[in-house]
Amino acid sequence: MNVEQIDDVLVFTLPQRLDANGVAAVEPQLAQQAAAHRGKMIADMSEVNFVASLALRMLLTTLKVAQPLGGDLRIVGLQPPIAEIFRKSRFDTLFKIYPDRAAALADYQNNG
Amino acid sequence: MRQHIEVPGEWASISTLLAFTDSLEACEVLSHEQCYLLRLVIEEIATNIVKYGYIEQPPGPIQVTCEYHASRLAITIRDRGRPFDPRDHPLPDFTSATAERSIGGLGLYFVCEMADDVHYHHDPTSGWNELIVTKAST
Repeated sequence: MNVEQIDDVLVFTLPQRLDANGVAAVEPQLAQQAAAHRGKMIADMSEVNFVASLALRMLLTTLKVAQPLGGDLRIVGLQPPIAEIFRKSRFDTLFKIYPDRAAALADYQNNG
Repeated sequence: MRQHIEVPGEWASISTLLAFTDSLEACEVLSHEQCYLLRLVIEEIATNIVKYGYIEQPPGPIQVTCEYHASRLAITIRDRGRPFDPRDHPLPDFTSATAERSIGGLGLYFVCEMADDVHYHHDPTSGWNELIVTKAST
């Protein structure tokens, strides 16, 4: 998983398949870096074409860690089938979702 | 097209089943939605069989059969664990705030939402559970 820091925002680029293997490959790093960063984060999902419920659990856990510390995890680049899963699970009401990382970064910059 | 695999009902088998879905996907017969559903069935149903089905007994088999005929995919998943009809599972929590939100039942919900039909049968004589998930190409 590619991780980069842009100003004060940590950006995770998630892999194509967030199935059991995909989640196992990124979850420890995501958890560790989210806990250490304690701030603004973006999950770039533009490459993701499969999401299992385990992946939603991982994202929700990260959000639950971030928010009480004043941070946030925002989602960008959802492909249409994945956006549909976010809608069906009502995850679109839990996360702020943007078309791309530029839009999410701009909103962090302008509105915190 | 008919493909069949049997694996032990244990965690290490999930990777084997995912590789089985990779090989079916590579055949380029199934539609994108059918491939997605197959992967989801392996992820959510097979994982549940390992996690709950065989919890009170030594792991038995998981059999997965995929049949594709006239643009229709039928995925049959069989096991001899504790009976469990996914259609009886309560709906997931859609309304709680972030801190209280749980994702229990979400995987099963996705399978039922994406499939055209989900049929479950438990045979008390043999002990086999059989779940048949079907989806036509769109």
